[in-house]
This record gives sequence, structure tokens and C-alpha cells, in this order.
Amino acid sequence: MKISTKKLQWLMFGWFFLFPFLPVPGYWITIGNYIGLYSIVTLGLVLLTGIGGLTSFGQAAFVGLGAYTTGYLSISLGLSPWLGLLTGLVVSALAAGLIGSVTVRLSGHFLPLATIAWGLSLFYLFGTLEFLGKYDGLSGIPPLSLFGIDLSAPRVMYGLIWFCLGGCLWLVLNLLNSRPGRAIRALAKGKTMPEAMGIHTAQYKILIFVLAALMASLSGWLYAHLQRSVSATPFGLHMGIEYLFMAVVGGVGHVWGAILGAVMMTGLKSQLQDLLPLLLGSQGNFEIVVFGVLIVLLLLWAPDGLWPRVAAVWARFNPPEPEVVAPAIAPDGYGDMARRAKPAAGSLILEISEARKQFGGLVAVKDMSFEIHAGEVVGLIGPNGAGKSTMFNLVTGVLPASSGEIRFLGERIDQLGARRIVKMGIGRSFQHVHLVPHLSVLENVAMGAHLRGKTSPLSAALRMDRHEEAQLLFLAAEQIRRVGLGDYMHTPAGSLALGQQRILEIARALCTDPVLLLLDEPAAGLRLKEKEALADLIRQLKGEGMSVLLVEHDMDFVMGLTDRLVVMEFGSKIAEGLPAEIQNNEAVLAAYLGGIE
Amino acid sequence: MDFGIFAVLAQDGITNGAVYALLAMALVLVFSVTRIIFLPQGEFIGFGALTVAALQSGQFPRLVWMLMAVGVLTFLVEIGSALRQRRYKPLPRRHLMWSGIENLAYPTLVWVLARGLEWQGMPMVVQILFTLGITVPLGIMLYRVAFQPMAEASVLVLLIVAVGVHFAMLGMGLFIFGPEGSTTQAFTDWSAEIGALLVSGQSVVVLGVSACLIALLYLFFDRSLYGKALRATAVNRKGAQLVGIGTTQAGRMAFGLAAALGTLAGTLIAPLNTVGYDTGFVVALKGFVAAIVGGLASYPLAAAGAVLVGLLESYSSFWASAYKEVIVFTLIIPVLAWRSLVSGHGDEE
Amino acid sequence: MSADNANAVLETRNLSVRYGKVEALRATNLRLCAGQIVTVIGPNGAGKSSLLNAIMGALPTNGQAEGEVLYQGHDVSHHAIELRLGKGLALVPEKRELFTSMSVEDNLVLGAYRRRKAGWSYRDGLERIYAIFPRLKERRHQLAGTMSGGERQMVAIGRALMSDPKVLMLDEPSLGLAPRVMAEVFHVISHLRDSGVATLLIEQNSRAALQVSDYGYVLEVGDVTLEGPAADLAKNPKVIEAYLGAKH
Repeated sequence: MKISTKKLQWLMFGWFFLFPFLPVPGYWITIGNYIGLYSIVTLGLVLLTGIGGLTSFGQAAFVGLGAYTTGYLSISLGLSPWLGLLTGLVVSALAAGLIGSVTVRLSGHFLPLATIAWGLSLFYLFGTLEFLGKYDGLSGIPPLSLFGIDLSAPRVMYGLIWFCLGGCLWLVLNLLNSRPGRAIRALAKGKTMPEAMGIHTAQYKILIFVLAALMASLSGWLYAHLQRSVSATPFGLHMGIEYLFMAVVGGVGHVWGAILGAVMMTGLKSQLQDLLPLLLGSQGNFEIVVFGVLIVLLLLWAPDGLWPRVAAVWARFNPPEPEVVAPAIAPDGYGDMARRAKPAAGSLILEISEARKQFGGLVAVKDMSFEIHAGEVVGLIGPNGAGKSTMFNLVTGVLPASSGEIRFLGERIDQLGARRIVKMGIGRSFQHVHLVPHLSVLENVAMGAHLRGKTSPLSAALRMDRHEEAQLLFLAAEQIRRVGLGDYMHTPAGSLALGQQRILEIARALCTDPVLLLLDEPAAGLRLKEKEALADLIRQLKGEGMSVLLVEHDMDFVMGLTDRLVVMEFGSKIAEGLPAEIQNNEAVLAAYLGGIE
Repeated sequence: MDFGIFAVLAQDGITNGAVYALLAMALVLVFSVTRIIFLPQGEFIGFGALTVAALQSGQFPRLVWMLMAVGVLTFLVEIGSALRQRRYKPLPRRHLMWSGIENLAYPTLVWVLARGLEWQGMPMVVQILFTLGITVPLGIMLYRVAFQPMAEASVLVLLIVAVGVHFAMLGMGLFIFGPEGSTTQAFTDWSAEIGALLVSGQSVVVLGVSACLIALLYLFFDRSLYGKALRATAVNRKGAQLVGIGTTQAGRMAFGLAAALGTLAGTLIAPLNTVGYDTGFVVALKGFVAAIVGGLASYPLAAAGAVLVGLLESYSSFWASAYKEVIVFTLIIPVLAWRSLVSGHGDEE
Repeated sequence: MSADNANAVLETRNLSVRYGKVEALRATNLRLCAGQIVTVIGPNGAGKSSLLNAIMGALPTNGQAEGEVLYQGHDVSHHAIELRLGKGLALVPEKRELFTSMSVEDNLVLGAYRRRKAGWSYRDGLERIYAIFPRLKERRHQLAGTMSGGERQMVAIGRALMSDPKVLMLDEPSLGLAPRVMAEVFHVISHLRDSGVATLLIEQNSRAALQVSDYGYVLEVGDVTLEGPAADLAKNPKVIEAYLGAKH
């Protein structure tokens, strides 16, 4: 019998629940409890750091928020721990929302540094506030009980902790395989690509920030009622770093790696604590030396963490089947999905007049003017450094124009951001392909369908999005077949040849239901056969009524393909006309093809 | 608050700030050259101070053992990597011989000196120089063993490795030095009254030494070829590689300098504060805050940030002493937001 | 041809470059003799930059080179950049990679980082560069990042020349330069030939490149599809159609 990898993973997870029924010493149960608690925090960190690309050292502080909130409410105000859980989650979400709105916009290494800062300041705050008992903390926190049943026994708490972990896992896995999940996965690739798919990157960053904080807070609540006391030490920077350790050791981009990392780290540490004094014959903190050395060795051996290694071994026996599959036939209501009205052939759709872009003293685009009509394929050509890419960025909203006007379907777009522009019907590809390499072609293309759905993160996590999800996946699959990549539906995008990756990007852009398609040097680096396939695809799209603006360097490629050419040099338009005219234009020959006299 | 207290607090703040400035510059240097956030910096503060203290009290400086142990480890790593590359090129005998001198012979020489000489009565400058003779090679060896094999890894992975090294060193510190802290002899008993302000000689020495070191660093980076090479690596790694400044060589220099600055910072604070094997971490964090204010890129900004941190700490300990750490660490968030805006975008991979 | 064989300073044998699964350059054989200018032309993304980086040993970490790089007959393909520089290879990269926050003179001085031998002084090295590019002497205290595109290219070439290379490799030197500046750069390149430096030039500005070169290769998507004396290539109908424009 063949078991799917997904089922097997859950089955393995199920084994952990049998653990407390075994006649194991109480100490093991304690270790198991900690592994569960740490896994919950690490899971949030995997979502935040591994998948969303935001490194945080401050998760321990959110654990502290959850723990202190319930501790204070249940001791000083005598409220129910369950109310403490709720309040803790609200407090953490508010704090994360507030801190997140300031810090997630930080670029580069500023964000991780900021997390160190607020991690430390919250830690010192816990240790200083009078009503939180200063550095002594709070003790005498009541045990948990549910409908009069006492949950304080370690083995019972074990069940509760692992139940919570299981719940979080289920929610996170659901979330990741959905419209909002794809948006989150796109975040790690920087800002330009997701925004060009209509994804509000800042909002999604704050979302995963809050989600990670909520999980940390839940772990803190469980911790407080397990320990029955809290103090500041376990919520300091050291612990924040250790959570990150667990995530990196397990495999920071892998959900199941969170548990593996927590098991490894916690198990290793407790084993070392037991073994080393026996070996060395003295007491002391020596496990920390071995621990540190082992971490360094492990990362030298497996820089991507342990989970990918484990998964690779497993895949040898049981090749994984695709996790995300599009429905074979159109789901109900697919025909009713909103589609943009196509403008009448020949009507003016893009109008650029006197557009200028200045970077300091450098004028990259100098008062460019040209037009595109519906159903036309226009080529924008010129030598490297002529300003084509900047012009492209002005139309797609990556850069605002310094002066001049760009109108699309009659509306000004020269000051709008990429997200607004894709919503209006301009789809684009990238010169350097922007894909999430380990995701399948289908999942990558479905990122383009972001604006075609409405599923909220909550309904996705609760798996209430299956109908819309089926529609979006079917839509994506249809575009993949449309561009001729049907055979590669479930192949990881990173393993395609460059030509196929370019075509994948076109399929992704088609998912946004564009009126105008902008392609940035689509032929660069392609072999002859690949170029021919690409040219065929563009002709096919033109036949279907699509308008295309092609920024190209390769003259040969654009000659037979375009209706009209616009030639740029040093930021200005030097010629415009039919390909045959351009080919014989003296100015173009001199400038574009060069020569020194 | 009267002027007297104001001035005393300012003196304290600036004195501490000067020490933070040294640490901040070391952190900026290491990060910009190697992209490593050098958490083990703190250990050099503690180890350096404790070694000077041991020399002054006539004890054997036990850090030498660590130097010898890490030296053997480094040599083994060198041999291992040479053997692994045997497929491509012959065994680099000369290189291995130098490595042997550096990692085996030199630590032995240090051991002989530590055993053979009477260090207790020596001038403090000599004691500090001898300590540097232990810590600087240690820093370079650490780079070889833990970081050089993964010089191209992501900042995150490098940081985790740095944390691993930090843990390992912390544990070894406890093993070597024990849990007790020590203080060193005062640099001077001199003090003077200027108006209402009592100027302590200690502050003057700390400020003077820090200022000299910063000036020396400035000269090093501005005038010497090695300093320029380090700056070049920080500005443009690819460009530096193309003119033959190896990543490895630059990394060694950065780690050596950072170890030296950490040790000096430790010896500067040791006469006034009890320094234990684990004291350095919190002090280094303050330097770290200052470095962050400078965006981990600019030396003058980092130095300014360090003085700011020192002053802030000193005044907040007067008004709200319990909250001084909270204030110091919360301050950076708005500064970071501002720095991030100023430095513009750069979030693309 | 046999005479060429004898004094080839640089030769590649079956040199391939791959980035993960993507093959950027396939089994390329190329030869460069002392005092020769050899140009490699071809469209964007054909693997031209990969070729130069592989010869220099400066591929990004995800890039892997296979095959041999012979410098004066010795295989240097496993040498680090520092060693290749010391032997006499130098690369001016496409993006210039200047030390923008340092002065022009510091940029040049660092170019000689690997060249500290007896009987050689920075003064002489700098004077030689300033003789080639008088403009750099005027601007020697200016920060490299504040220079114009053409001046930056001069700094980049000057920095590479400071290591006294026998083989100078230039990656798209005319990129983004105004025609007048470009002509100046090409003028310098053709003068370097007279001092015995062999130049390997990569250009998308095919006509200008073929004009100054002795020999040329056409690289298309990882393969050398054509080679021959530059004058012949400039007349080759295929080259004219693809790279020089249909006229002529």
C-alpha cells in the first residue's frame, strides 16, 4: 500500500500523542512538553523568516507577553486562564501590529536588528515593571481546567500542548496552500514581483508578523500554566536567538522543520546536560560549548537545515506526488468569474506623452512619447543603457515619472504604484525571471491570479476557500496550457530551462487578465528554438486580441514579430515606424548598431 | 537637576560612550567586511579583562590554554581542507608550514613566555600588549575555523554560526575563568576639580585612549594599503576580489582588529567594574546598539551613536534607573526607521 | 596559424559554465596571442560575461566552470583570483565595480594590491595610468562614485592596468557611454596593443569592436557559432544581418 507523503507526515505526528501513555519517566514528558512549546513558536518563525523572508530575534518577547498577560490576569484579578489566553492573544496581536507597522517596512538588515532592539526592550520591561513582580516574576499561577476537569498533570498538559501544536500546524499548512499563502511565499522574492501581481506586500508582511506573534503568545500562555510561574529570563534575547536556531537547524523554509528543529535542539541540550557531567566528572555549563560547536558543524554540513535532507532520503523510497493539483474540469461558477472587457481593436490604450525620469542629474528617460493601440505588438528597442528598462518601469509603476503623462485606457497612471496598475489591466514579465524556484509551475502561475480571488487569510486557514481555490487553480492551469507548458504543470519552476521560465512568467501575467502585456527582454539568453517558441506564443496572443509592448535588445527577434518599433537612445526616441523602415533608418543604424569614425 | 549632577552624568555617559564607540567600530568593521554580526565580540571584552587581571595578580593567564587548543583545531582544519583539495592541486606545503608556525609554534611560545616571565610587576601597558598577543590570534583562528568555510552563506546562517561560536566561547570562558569576576588596577589615582565637577583620572584615560585608538583607526583606514583594502572590501566585494584582495585575508584582518578592540574595551572598563567571563555580552550589545544607529555601515555615525547611547544610559539611570535598559533599547526603533528611510530601498535579493 | 599557436598567452579548452541546471557556456575554445585584440560578439545572455568571469576565476558562487584555462601554456583553472592576477590576468567587469566612496587615486592604488615587488613604485604605476587617461590625474582626489559614466570606465580600466596585466579582459566597455567617450575608450584599447598587452574584448557594439580587433568570435547562447579574422567577420553576411544591420 502506498501512503501519500502528506498522510505519512500527519501519521508520524500522531505518534507523539501516544507518548504520554507509554510508561516513560516523567522527565521525558517534561522534555516533550518543552519541545511542543518551542515548536509552536518556531512554527511561527518558519512562517515569518523562512517563508516570508523576515528575520526576527524577538519572538521570545511575544512568548513573554502571552505568559505575563495570563499570569497577571489570573493572579492579580483572579480571572479565568481562558480569558487570559484571549487577552494575551489580543495584546500580542496589538503589540505585533504596532511594532510590525513600524519595523516590517525596514529594508535589508535593519529589520532583524530592530527585532533585537524591541526584543531586548520588552525583556527589560518585564523585569522592571512593579505589577509584573520585577525580576522575581509572578508565581502561583492557577492550573488550567476545562469544564471542571483539572488539566494540571504533566501528561495531560502534554496532550493539550501537542493538540495546540497540531492545530497551529493544520492552520499554517492550510494557509500556505491558498491564495493568501501564495502571496506570503512571494514576499521572500523582494517587493517588485509580488506588487506586480497586485499583492499588497506591506499588509502581508504585517499579517505574518502578527500570526507569528499569536503563535508565540499561545506558547507563552501554555508555558505559564505549565510552570505555574513566570519570570523574565526565558523571554530574553538568548531565547529569541534559540528559537531562530531551532528554525534554521530544522530547515527555516519548511513547516515540518520547525518540529524537527525543536526536537533536535531540546533533545540535544538535555542529553548533553545529562551526559557531559558524567564524562567530564564535574558540574558546569559545559554543554553550551558542545552545543555551540555542534551548531557550527551542523550548518557546515547542511546549510539549509535538516528537514530537506530528511525529505530527500524519504523521496528516494517514495517520490512525492504534487501537493497542489488543479481540477480536471472547470469548477462551478468558473464561467462567471469577472473578466475584463477587451477594448475595440485599434482603439488607443496606452498613451505616453513627454514622459521623463530623472535620477539626480542623470536623465534616464527624456521626454518620450509614443502610443499603443489595442491588438498591436509594439517593440521598444535600443542599445543597452538606452533607458528602455527605465521606460518600462515607468509604465509598470515600479518608478514614478518625474514629469510628463502616461495614460492607460484614458486614465493617468504615471504616479500610480505597480499594484494599482496591474489592477487596471497591465500585466508584465521580468528580464531576470522572478520565480519561487521550489514551488511548482502551477503554484507560481497561480500567484498571478491573486487579484482574481478574494479569500481572506482566516477562511484560507480554516479551509473554507476550496471552491474559489479550485477556480483560481483551474484558471492558472488554463493559462499554463494556453502557453504550452501543460506537461510541466507540477515541475518545480526552478528546474525549467530559462526559455520555459520566461514563458511561465507570461502565463503568470496572463492570469491577471491583462489588456496590455509588457515583456521585458523576453528573448535574452534564449536558444534559437526557444526564441521561435516564444515568437509563436506572442503571435498566438496577438491573434487572441492581446496588445503587447516588447522591450528588446535583439533586433532579429523583433523584426518579424512586431507591428511597429520605437527606437530609444540616451533616453530619447530617435525613430519610430514599421520594422522595415527602421531597418533602413540611418539614425538607427548609426546609433543602435554603432560605429566609430 | 543642578549643573554639577548634570556634568557628572555627562562625564559618565561620555566615558561609557567612548568604550561603546570602540565596540561599535569593531562591529561595523566586521559586518561590512564579512557580513557577520559578530556576537562573540563580548567574549573578548571579558576574556581580555580577566587575562590582564590574572597577570596583575601573578596567576597564570589561563586563556593561553584556549589559544593552544584552538590553535591545534585550526591547524587540523587547515590540513583537512588541504587534503580535500588534493584532487585539484598539490599539497600547499608552504602554506601548511606557515599555518603550523601560526597555530602551533606561536601559541607554544606564548605559553613559554607566560610561564617563564614574572608578569605581576610589569607595567600595565606591557601586560595589555601581552594580552593582545593572545586574543588577536584567537580572533583570527576563530575566523578560520568557524566562518571561512562558509564565507558565502547568507547573513542569517552566518549569524547563527556566530551565535554558536558565542555559546561555545561562553562555556569555555566559564571553564577557564570560573564564575567569579575580577577588577584590574586603576590606571591612575589622579583627579581634579573643575568648578563643581570632579574629573576622575580614570575617565580621562578612557577618553584619551579611545580617542587615540579612533584616530589610529582613522589613519589606518585612510592611509595604509591594508586599511584601504578593508574599506574596499566593505564598499564592493566583487571589485575587491578582482584586484586580488581575498575575502579570506580581509576577514582575518577584520577579526584580528575586532578582537583587539574588544580586548582594549575590556581593559578600559575593568578598573571600575567587576568583569566576569560573561559580562561582555551586555556591554557589547550597547556597542551593538550604537553600531545599529550607524546602520552597520558608517564609522563616524557609529561613534556618534555610541556617545548618544552612553549619555542616554547615564541620564536615564538618574531619572528612571530601573528603565534605563528599556529606554536605551527602545530608542533604536525610531532611529532605525529613520535610517532605513535615508538609506533608501534595497530589499531586492 | 601555427605561429599563433606558439605564442598564445591565453587559451581556453572546452570551457563550460553552468549555474545550477542552467548551462551558460558550452565547451568553448578560444585563443589569444600577445599584442592581439580579440573580440567576442553576440546577443545579450549568450554567455559572454560568464566566459570572462570563468577565465578570471570570478564566477558567482552558484556558477561552476569546467574545462581548462591555459595561461602561457599552464592550466590556471583551479587557481584563485589572486594567483591569476599575479600571473597577469585582469578583468574590467561589466558593472565596473568601483570603490565608489573612495578617491580615484585610491581605486587605482588598490589595483596594484597584488603587485608589491621590489623595484616598483606606486608613483610610476600611477604616472603611467595618468599618461593614458590625463583626465584621471585632474580628478584624482574626487570620489569615484561622483564621476561620469565615461570617467568611471577609465578608472575601471586604469585600476585593471595597475596590476600590469599581460591579458586585459574588458566586459562591455562601451556600455552606456556616449559615442564620443566610447571612441576614446576604443582608442585607448587599440593603443594598449602597441605596448604588448593582449586584450579580450566583449562587446555588443559589434561594429566598433570588430573595427579595433584582430580576430573575432561569435557567441550565441553558449556556443561559438563563428570565428575568424575581424575584417572577415565584419564582411560575413550572417554577422552583418544579425549584428551589424542589414545594410552594407
